[in-house]
Amino acid sequence: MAEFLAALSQHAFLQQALLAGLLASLACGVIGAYVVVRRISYLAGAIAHSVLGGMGLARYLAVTQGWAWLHPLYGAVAAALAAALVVGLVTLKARQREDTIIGAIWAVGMAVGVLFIAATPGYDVELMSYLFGNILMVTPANLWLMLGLDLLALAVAFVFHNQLLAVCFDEEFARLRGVNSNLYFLLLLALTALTVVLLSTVVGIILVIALLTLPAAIAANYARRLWQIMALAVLISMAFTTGGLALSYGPDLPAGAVIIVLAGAAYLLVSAGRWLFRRA
Amino acid sequence: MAAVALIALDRVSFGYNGHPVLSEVSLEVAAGEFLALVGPNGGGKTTLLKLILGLLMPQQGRVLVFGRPPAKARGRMGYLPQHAYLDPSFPVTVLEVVLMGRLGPRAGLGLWSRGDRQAALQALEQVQAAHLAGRGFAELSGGQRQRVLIARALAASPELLLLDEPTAGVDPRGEEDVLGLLAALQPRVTVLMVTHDLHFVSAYVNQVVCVNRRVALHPTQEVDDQLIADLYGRPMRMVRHDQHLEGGECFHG
Repeated sequence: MAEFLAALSQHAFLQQALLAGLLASLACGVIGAYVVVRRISYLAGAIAHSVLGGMGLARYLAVTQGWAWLHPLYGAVAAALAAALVVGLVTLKARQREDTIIGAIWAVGMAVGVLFIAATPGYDVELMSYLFGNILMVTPANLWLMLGLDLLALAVAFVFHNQLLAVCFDEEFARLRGVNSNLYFLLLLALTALTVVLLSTVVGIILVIALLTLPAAIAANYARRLWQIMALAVLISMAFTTGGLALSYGPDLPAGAVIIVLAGAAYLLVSAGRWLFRRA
Repeated sequence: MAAVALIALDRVSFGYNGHPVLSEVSLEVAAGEFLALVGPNGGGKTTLLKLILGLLMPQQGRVLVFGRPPAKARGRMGYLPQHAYLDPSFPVTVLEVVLMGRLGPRAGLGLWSRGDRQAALQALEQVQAAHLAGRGFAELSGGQRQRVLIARALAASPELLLLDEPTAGVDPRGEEDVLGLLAALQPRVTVLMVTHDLHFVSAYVNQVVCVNRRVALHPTQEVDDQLIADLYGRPMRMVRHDQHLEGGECFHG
């Protein structure tokens, strides 16, 4: 740990990685809490995996068309929002085969990404960092984009908190009060999509789902209001990303995987603790 | 007809996947009534409420509420959904739940106003649950939850209150409290209430609507053992009240 702190003061890339983790944690705690209480982590998973399609396409165009400005993150944002819209409409309209269609979107999004990456000239070293994240590669430009996405997600979540809370708690009643439930459900999925993109820079798109849900799931044990769960989940998520980064640095392990294992272990400990406490 | 009925159903039919639940139902309710909807499970009581709320669209016929299509009259209606369909562990406080009754197409953005909070607290006082305001909804007993959800329905001062089994999960004393509370809203608020225990209710309501694919309206005086037996297919015990009961049948022919 001392080694990590010493390196942190020297290396800008490590400071940027730390900042990326903290920034992603803001949206993670707030939107993750909605995802957990509305029980839509499966939908978030489908959105996350579809992101690969957008990243692959952006990378392909950047290389073949020479559009250097087209960072894969832009492709990720576009793909995530498109996937959120499709997943949302499927959930609202096709109640019978909902799980089948969501699962298919999940896989097809990834397949499209793999094809674009394969078609892109040059080495496909990028694939691993898309899938499992590479927080040490975060650039200052990425950080600004992350800050922008964060502010957008948090501002929307604040302004529409009462509506989102009502739609999550009792969709039918909200509709009767003149709240457009379907629209707010799609809004919630769009916010989830932005958060998934933020988190994918930290842990990669395959591991996103654990980081999105576990901090809020842990926090839900200790708070009885949604905003309290959000605040607590932000702190827990910050602890996971920072702790995972620090633990991975010394032995040179992949930071994303360490963050996720840390989150999983913490969730297990808290659950076991509560179980024992209840039996005692 | 001179005055416009508050609720008017004109030969309304509705079914799920081809199975008719309500067929050719006509019903008119005047302002200020206190009605009980009774009938067997699956007889269409909840479906009838949802048609009036505009949550379901009639497959045939027409529903008007306050003389308008239900979706346009929702702002003037309060609704208590059927017990126990909400996530029991949802992290929300009692006051937050009641405040949901204050939502509107443009209301409730950002933080709640003081006026909204006061209205929510008043609604809680009406159901004698103001002391629960800060508690978590998940910690409450079934009866307390029911009161809080009634307060949510009252929070926007509705003129028409639709309640799906308001006394389910409530102990007998609490049941009388709830019914007394609803009776006290008369005649300012028109109340339609789905219920199973007609014996309690008949002392409070002035009309009973029997719902079993078709609908028949009865003044409370007509409600007796024969009607109950016809409705449920078997006799049920019923406490008699001081009013005079006469013979009658729920459905003729």
